[in-house]
Amino acid sequence: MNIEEQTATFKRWLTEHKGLIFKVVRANAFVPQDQEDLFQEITSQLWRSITSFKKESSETTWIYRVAFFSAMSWNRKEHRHRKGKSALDGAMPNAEFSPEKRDPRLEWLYDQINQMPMIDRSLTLLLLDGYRYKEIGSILGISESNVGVRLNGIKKTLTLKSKAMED
Amino acid sequence: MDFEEIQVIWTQQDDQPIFNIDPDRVVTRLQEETRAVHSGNLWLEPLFMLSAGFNVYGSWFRVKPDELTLWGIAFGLVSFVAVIWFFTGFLKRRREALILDQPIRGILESDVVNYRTSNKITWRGIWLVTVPSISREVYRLIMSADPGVVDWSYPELIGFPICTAALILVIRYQSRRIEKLLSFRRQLD
Repeated sequence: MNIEEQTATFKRWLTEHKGLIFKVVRANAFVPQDQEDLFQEITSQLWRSITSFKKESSETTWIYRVAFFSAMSWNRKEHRHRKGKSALDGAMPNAEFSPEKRDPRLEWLYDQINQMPMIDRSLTLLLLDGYRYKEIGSILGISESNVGVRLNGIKKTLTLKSKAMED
Repeated sequence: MDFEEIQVIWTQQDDQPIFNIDPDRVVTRLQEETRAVHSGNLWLEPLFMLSAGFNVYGSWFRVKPDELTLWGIAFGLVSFVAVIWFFTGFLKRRREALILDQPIRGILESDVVNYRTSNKITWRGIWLVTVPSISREVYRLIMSADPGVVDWSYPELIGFPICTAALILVIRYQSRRIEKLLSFRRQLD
């Protein structure tokens, strides 16, 4: 693959799948500076990964995998990550969105995902994006039954917390 | 809300970016980064080998140490920078070569292997910089006309311990990364 093909593929991925990348970014970073930092990390890994992409999985699965792995690597800055999280308590994340455009329920959902352990965050994003247990298992490298058990727990917790929030 | 409602909220979010992105600018930045890493590695590796060779030569075969003190300091500094850059460059290449076409569990395991390999190489680097200088100091102390007196005009007496300490810090940093990766790996079990 030459550089022109790599560039064209990257631009297309960035245009078509930016929503996916932003979901992973929002689920893993809390303040705008961190979100920009993580976005750069993911795009950088995505750029390098293009030459290894053999089309054995779908583009979306590939991009998810790269984005999750980049987020895990980025998570090494956990100290700053946690600081950002505590600083955001009660504040509104994602400064670029105007408050009237934001759905508070969606903000609540991202907040819940942010509080989960790293692997559970990935599981939840994939579930919410409509992936089947088998596909989730193959992306993360865990058995379908393990995915089922963990996601049942996540679903229960989210439902309970949402009810508590409504009360 | 039940989970179906939560899913509906999720699917209704649009693709509006958190911040504006310009794909052309992103591509330009990434191409510049790639060029910088490659050109950096081209001259740093020979420099590392040269400085490692000089360390061995300087430690055992130097005849008039006082005349070479400034050179010793200069090469000590270059050696320090080169060693650090060499190992980070090595790690970068290994990470670029990660096999991404496998589940996250496999990618995490490959990354752990990379860091462990890097740590092993860093240990070798420590032996490379310390063993020649320590053995020489011992030799010199034994052969000295005034046994037991350390000659501080030898820059490596200061430079090599600093270099060794820096490499040990690199190892500790990488070990923490390994622990972090293993904790993610354990979350998958």
